[in-house]
Amino acid sequence: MDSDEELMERVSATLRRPVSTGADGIERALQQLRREARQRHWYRAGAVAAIAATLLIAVGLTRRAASGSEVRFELADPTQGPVALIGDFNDWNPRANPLGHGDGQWSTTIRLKPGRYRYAFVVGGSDWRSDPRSPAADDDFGTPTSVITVTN
Amino acid sequence: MSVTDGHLVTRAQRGDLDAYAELIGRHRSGLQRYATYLLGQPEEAEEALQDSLLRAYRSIQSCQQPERFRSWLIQILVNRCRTRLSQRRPAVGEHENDVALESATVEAGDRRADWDEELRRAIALLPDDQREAFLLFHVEEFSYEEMTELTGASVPALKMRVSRACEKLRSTLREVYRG
Repeated sequence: MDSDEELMERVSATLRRPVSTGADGIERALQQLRREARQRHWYRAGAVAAIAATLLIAVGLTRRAASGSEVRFELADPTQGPVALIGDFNDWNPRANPLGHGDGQWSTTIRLKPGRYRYAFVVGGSDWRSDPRSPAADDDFGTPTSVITVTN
Repeated sequence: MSVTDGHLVTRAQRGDLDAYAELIGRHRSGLQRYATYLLGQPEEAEEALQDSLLRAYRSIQSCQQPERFRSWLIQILVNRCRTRLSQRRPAVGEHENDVALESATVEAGDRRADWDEELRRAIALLPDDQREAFLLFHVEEFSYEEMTELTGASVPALKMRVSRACEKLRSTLREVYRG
């Protein structure tokens, strides 16, 4: 190997040695990446918490909306029945809420969400009766119906 | 059996920062060496390193060949260093370079030279493209084909740059080496 080759070998060997710069850009980069990872973690945790809180609130509101109030409907009538409750709350279906008989009157209790409802009783399967204890509802067809307003 | 770079890259691509840190640790020496000798200023080299490593992690998904992570990372560093070099004052003209080289040789002849210091000065005096090619080939030991991917230059152009760099270094350092 001639001296020029030896020279270049020494150059390469010297340059391949580790260098010390006194500063550490590598460590600074890793520290910054770790900070960003922590920030993303807390951001995600916050986002998850916010979503969970929103869902809880939504569920709470739904449950509150679904709870409503218990309303008792009564009809004093000496007939043998059947007596059914029909109205806005059960699509006017006479099979949905039959009344039970006791102590000389027919009655049932159902849960209604806050709102205004028209209703009537169907006696003997075909005889519509309004509720004498409630205001009459407006009805263009003259059908006897009543109105009940349920508050919170 | 040690974990390969490819495995660590795959983990880093899934967000494992510790895997990325281990990768960097494996290639730390070469990264610091290249940036320091190419840029010639330790503080600037560390800034280029920091910048490159942040960019690399943020774009780790684009490392399509995890087993070639070193080449992929060095390419990012090469580009960042080139950007810094281009932002410096216009390159010293040939005349000024010759004066600097002659001055270095004369000084080496007058006194007992510090080999490491003279070598650093000689490297710093190389034109940017020759210094880059010399460091990638003789120090980081990339092949010319790999260097083509890293630099965008053709193999013949890279060979010419390395050859000229070697000529200049021999010319500058011959007296120091023999002294």
